This record gives sequence, structure tokens and C-alpha cells, in this order.
Amino acid sequence: MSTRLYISLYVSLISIVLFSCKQSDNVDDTATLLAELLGRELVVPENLNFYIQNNSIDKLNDKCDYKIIAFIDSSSCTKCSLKLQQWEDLINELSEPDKTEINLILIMNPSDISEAKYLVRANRFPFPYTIDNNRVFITANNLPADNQFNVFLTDCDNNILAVGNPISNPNIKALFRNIVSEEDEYDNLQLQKVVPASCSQKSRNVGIADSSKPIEVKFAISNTRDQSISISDVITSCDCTSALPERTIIEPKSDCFITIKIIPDNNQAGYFSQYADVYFSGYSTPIRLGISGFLNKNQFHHNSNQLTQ
Amino acid sequence: MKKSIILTAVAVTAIAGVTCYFNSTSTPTPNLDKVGLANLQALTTNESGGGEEKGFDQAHSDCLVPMHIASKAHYYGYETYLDCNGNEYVKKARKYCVSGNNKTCISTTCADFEEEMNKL
Repeated sequence: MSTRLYISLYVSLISIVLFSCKQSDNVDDTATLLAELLGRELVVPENLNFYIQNNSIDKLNDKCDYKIIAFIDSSSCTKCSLKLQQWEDLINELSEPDKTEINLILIMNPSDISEAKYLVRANRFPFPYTIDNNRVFITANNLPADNQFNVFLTDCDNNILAVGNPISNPNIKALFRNIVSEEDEYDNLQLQKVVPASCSQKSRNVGIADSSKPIEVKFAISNTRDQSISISDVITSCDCTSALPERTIIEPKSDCFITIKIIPDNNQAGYFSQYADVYFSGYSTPIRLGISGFLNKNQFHHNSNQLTQ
Repeated sequence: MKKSIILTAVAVTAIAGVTCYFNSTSTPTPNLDKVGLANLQALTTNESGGGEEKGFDQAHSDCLVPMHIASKAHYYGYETYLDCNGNEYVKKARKYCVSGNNKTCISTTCADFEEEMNKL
């Protein structure tokens, strides 16, 4: 064998060793971070002023069974990130079965404070919120930048019971539901990590689109498993985006169309990027379908904003 | 000469393997109870979703350009692909990979391509 071949063999061997070494880092990092956070008492800094709608409140309600403390960084799109109606629906849903009292504390970092306050008023949002543009809450608690570690289910003394955003991740929502209902059915939350479906082009750039017309893109997703799979939830990145699967059960090796529709703000111009995460029952990893492009107030390029993929 | 190369290769690989083994066993996965484990499983969901997209991008990359360039490029007939990493803060840094029309993208540098698109 030539020296070159020996060197290639050696490089392949060492790559395999190093790759297998690196592979579990992501999960281990998450586990380490999670272990550090669970049980820790969160501090809500005293210099944050809380409001319910327009009214300043002196003290947060201390009487409850559980709290959800959420830091929402909406620096890219206030309306997209706050999802106030969904938070209200979630608290109502979690509280309902046995009248568990759950307090929601929303700590926002909006790009546009006046828009955030307007949305609170317009939605008649009934929970306390504060504006924290200096990320005081994050600093005080030494929290990571990753926004999935910025939302917490706590007991009434702010001790963390679970971490994650239940609005953007249905598996976290199921976990929160299990904890507050004290059902102790965590075995049911065992999920397979593979993505059971595929899509030939998961991301579409629609080019220049007219901001006065809805943008619709049809995606075909294929079941890659040997058994039927069931769409359990579709989470969109924005209230302006909706996703409609043609059916929820997808038979083995067959396709299902999902139509994603974006209704742009009439005054909106410039670049946009939205997505829908399609979750499947029994699987942890969603398939993400994305649409992006450029919104123009004066449409002059495309006759239609409709595309099919 | 060849023998010494083989021996060195085997020795270095063995050291790397042993170090890797001891690293993985000396830093055990933290103790998480059943709630913690369920929490871990739910949290890792989006990370793996993002990773999958990354490979897709790598497979097709010709030029990585900013979002507005990709939008224009799409209009002018280029095929575009989205690099999506899942988290919103990552989303702000999203880039697009533009390919398709070899005449412009391959024959010029990506910077030239961006400049051309900016002029349009």
C-alpha cells in the first residue's frame, strides 16, 4: 500500500473516533443546562414594573398553585412573537380540569414598545406583563440566550419545575399539562426522535410578493415510515400564518398536502420569513416548512402569489 | 518508514479513542428524574429539526447571500434554498444559498453576485 493510502486510512479512522465523540454533545449540553435549571429559584427583579393592561400593579399575585414565567424576546417581530391570545388560551386550558390556579407572568423584550402595549390592550390581555428591553430578567437569573430556556413552569415560590415554551412546542405543553394535573403519566411522553416524514423542498422563497394579497404555498409531505402517521399539531411562527393539512392521517409511503397561508400586514414591506412546524403523534421532531420572500406594497412582478411545491 | 506510519496512526487513534471514552464516562449525563427526562426529550426536539435543515443547505450551497439578495435572485430565476436553524435568534442570521444559473453564480465570486443583484 502507498503512503498516501495509509494517511487516508488514518485520517478516516481518527475522523470516525472524533465524530463519535462529538455526536452526543448537543443532548448532553441540554441535559446539563436543564439539570442546572430544574429546582432553581427564579428571581423576578424588583426594578421591573408590572402592568395589567394599562394599570401598574404594586405586587404580583403570590397565591397560586403554579406559575408560568415567560421571557419573550420579540425583537424581530412583536406581533409574531407575543401570541397573547395563545397564552391566554393555554392558561385557561391548563387551569380548567380541577381549577388549578396558574399565574402567568409575561416579561417582554419588544422591538416596538408601543406596539406591544397596543397588542396587550387590543387583546384585553388579563395577565401581568412587564417591558424588559435591558434583559434584566435574563441577567439576574444568568439564563442562556437560547429562547427555549427562557420560559418556565414553576411552583408558587418560583422554583423551576420544567423548562420550555409550551406555545411553540406541543411536547412542552403536554409536559406542563402532566405536571399541573399531577397525572404522573410521563411514560406517555416517550417520543421517537426521527422525523417520520419528508418534503422535497421544505423551504420556499416566493420572491417578490404583493403585501395586499395572501401568500399561499402548498407543500407535499411524504410518510417515510412503514406505518401510518398522524399530524398532532402545527405550530406557526406568527399569528399571520396558518397551516391547513388536507388530512391528519398519512398512510405509509403516501403524501399529504399542507397549505401554508400568510396574510401580510397591508403596510408591511421588505423581507419576510415565516414557518410552520408540523408535529406527529409519538415523534418528537417536527418537519419545518418555511416560506420567505420580499413584500412589495406596489405589486408589479407576479400575477399571483400562489405557488405549489 | 511505512511501518512507523502505521504504528503512529494506530497509537494516535488509540489515544483519541481512549480519551474520548474517558471523557464520555467521566462527564456523565446529569441525573434527571422522570420529569427532567421528559423535559429533556421535549427540548431537544427543535434542535434536531434544525440540524436536518442544515444538511440540506450544505448539499446545495453555491453562494451564501443575505435574505434580500435571495429574494431578488429568486425573482430573476435563480433557485434558492433556506438555511433554517430553528431558533428565532438564529433566524435573524439566516442566510440563503443561491444556485441554479451557473453563468452568474459559478463564474463570478459570491461577492460579485451580491453586488450584481444589488444593482438590479
